[in-house]
Amino acid sequence: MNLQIINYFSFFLFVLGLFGISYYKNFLSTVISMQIMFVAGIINFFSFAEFLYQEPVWDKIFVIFSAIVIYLLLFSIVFYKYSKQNQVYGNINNIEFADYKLFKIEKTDWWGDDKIVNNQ
Amino acid sequence: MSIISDFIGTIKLWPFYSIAVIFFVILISLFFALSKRKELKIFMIFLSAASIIVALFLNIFTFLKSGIYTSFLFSFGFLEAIEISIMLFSVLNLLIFISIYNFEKNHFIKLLIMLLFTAGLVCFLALSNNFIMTFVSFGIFTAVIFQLVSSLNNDILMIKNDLIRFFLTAAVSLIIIFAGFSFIYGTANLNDFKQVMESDNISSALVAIGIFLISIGIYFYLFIFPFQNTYLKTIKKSEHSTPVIVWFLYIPAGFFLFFKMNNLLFYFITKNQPYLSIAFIAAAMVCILGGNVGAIKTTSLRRIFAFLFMAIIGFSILSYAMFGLGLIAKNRVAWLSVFNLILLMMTYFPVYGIIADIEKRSNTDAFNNLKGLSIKNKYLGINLTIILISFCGMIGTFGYLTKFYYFESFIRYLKGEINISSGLANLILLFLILAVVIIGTVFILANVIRIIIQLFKSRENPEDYEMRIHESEVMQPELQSKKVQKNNFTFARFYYFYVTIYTVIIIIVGIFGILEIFNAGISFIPFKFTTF
Repeated sequence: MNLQIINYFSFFLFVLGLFGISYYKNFLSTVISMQIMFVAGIINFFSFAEFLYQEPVWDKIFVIFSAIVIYLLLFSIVFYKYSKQNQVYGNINNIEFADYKLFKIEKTDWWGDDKIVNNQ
Repeated sequence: MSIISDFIGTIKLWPFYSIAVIFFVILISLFFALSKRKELKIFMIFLSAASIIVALFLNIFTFLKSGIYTSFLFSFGFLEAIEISIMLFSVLNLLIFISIYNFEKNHFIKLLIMLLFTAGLVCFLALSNNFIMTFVSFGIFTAVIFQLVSSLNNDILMIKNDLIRFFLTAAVSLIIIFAGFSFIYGTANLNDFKQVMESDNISSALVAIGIFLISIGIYFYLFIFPFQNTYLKTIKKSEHSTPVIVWFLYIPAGFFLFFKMNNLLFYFITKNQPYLSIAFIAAAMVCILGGNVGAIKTTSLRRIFAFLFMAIIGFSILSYAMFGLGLIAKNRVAWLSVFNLILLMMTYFPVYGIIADIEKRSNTDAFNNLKGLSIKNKYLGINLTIILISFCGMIGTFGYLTKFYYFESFIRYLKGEINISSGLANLILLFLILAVVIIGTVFILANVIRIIIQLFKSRENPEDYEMRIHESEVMQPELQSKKVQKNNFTFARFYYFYVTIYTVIIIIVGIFGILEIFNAGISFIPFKFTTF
């Protein structure tokens, strides 16, 4: 196992995650794709530390703090989506099958007015 | 008196005093967080405003007294002092918007606490030097902004999906930035951007990939064209104070992160000219043209201003391309980016304040809401006209200063004072940039004239009133029980005071700026508006 193969693998994971967030509409698929991208970044950090530097600590600290921060945000979003405590819980079927595709291109983003429909 | 000045002279001023003041007030506010009493809410508003003003004063005083500060985790210089001052001024205005439109809510004090928390975190972001500190402060800031925006919109079902998509995109951008840092780490165990600049491995492919990924992450974070879908939908559907939070709290944080890479970007732009210049020109062109065309074709006031905001961001991106060609210097790029942001604040805070108030009463943000405002309410109409004229760059106003330096570089090139690298490619890029600047300026002028004409049109006729009722029923069906009120264009006295302050600042800074441009020499002001 050498550094080059590991980096190719992390690049593959990163591209896979990028494809996932661009393609899937489902909320869980999007979140899982984000985890895959995050894991690719962690693999990069640890592989560089293992092969290039003596007794590295900085990368571990960065990864731990970054994980705390990113999962804090993701947890907040998931909690907001599924929580019954706020007033916008609404119809579960409507929300479960809502479109969460992150990168959409619609005509109204460039030209004309937006026709607002609930949960679109 | 000398004892006091001696005492002040012995105090070591740290740039964290402003953050300490804000967090101290947050600590006090926690004791009142669950209260719904009106008197406590008013007390908290004044306490929060006082803390922000004191923090702003301490920030400026610290820089003037103690100068530059650098440590392993933080650095505080002129640009950082400017960034913190801008954000604290922005938070003060956001406090006003949140107080006006959310005072009746039971969790109002919690909203204030979250707002103060974001203010403290954005100060941390501006001060942070180390990669860990930068990323952590940026990430927590994004998480708290999500808390604030979702709490503000907790009674609007329509926006839930778009808010989730908005902040999932922000989370994706964080992960991409994280991946970018991993590649920079792989170069030579570098901990901050200054070390990267001084490193022998600055030309390494890993650094280039890292900077590229961080730039892409920030690109997604800012919802720059063609990824503006979620941003437009969130601005359109949210409650009244959310758009200004997105415009002047969320987006500037992305810019501050981008500014931290400025020296590295300048190095790579110089090294890889013209390819990077082409990339920046392409991004700027899409933003400027897309923003202006989108604004001109919509009849929703929120969408108009959302599009125009993106167009001005395009101008800031264009300044990097102009640097690549050698038209402007490095400090002018930073100056243009900062002053474009300040121009947006000077325009949007007063204008959107009026628009939001009209929207609250009429239950729709239709363009026709503004019809007859200048006729019915001459004072506000004139003020708004001056502010909008400044936005499109009329001479004698604040906006003229930013537009001037975009055109001044071309004039100096034609006079032979600036030399760009020879070659057909550079010449084509030069004309392309000039075309983008001219077309963008003309389009913004067209958009502003369209709004000003609407202000001066005669009063609303019965057909327009019926149309607004119909639009209200289509756009916000759950609010059908609220009656659409006729526009009478009377506002609380506060709005007159608020708009007047901005009009005066715009005119005064515009006049001083022109005097500086013509080297008229204003000796009583210890700083310059037209340069850093």
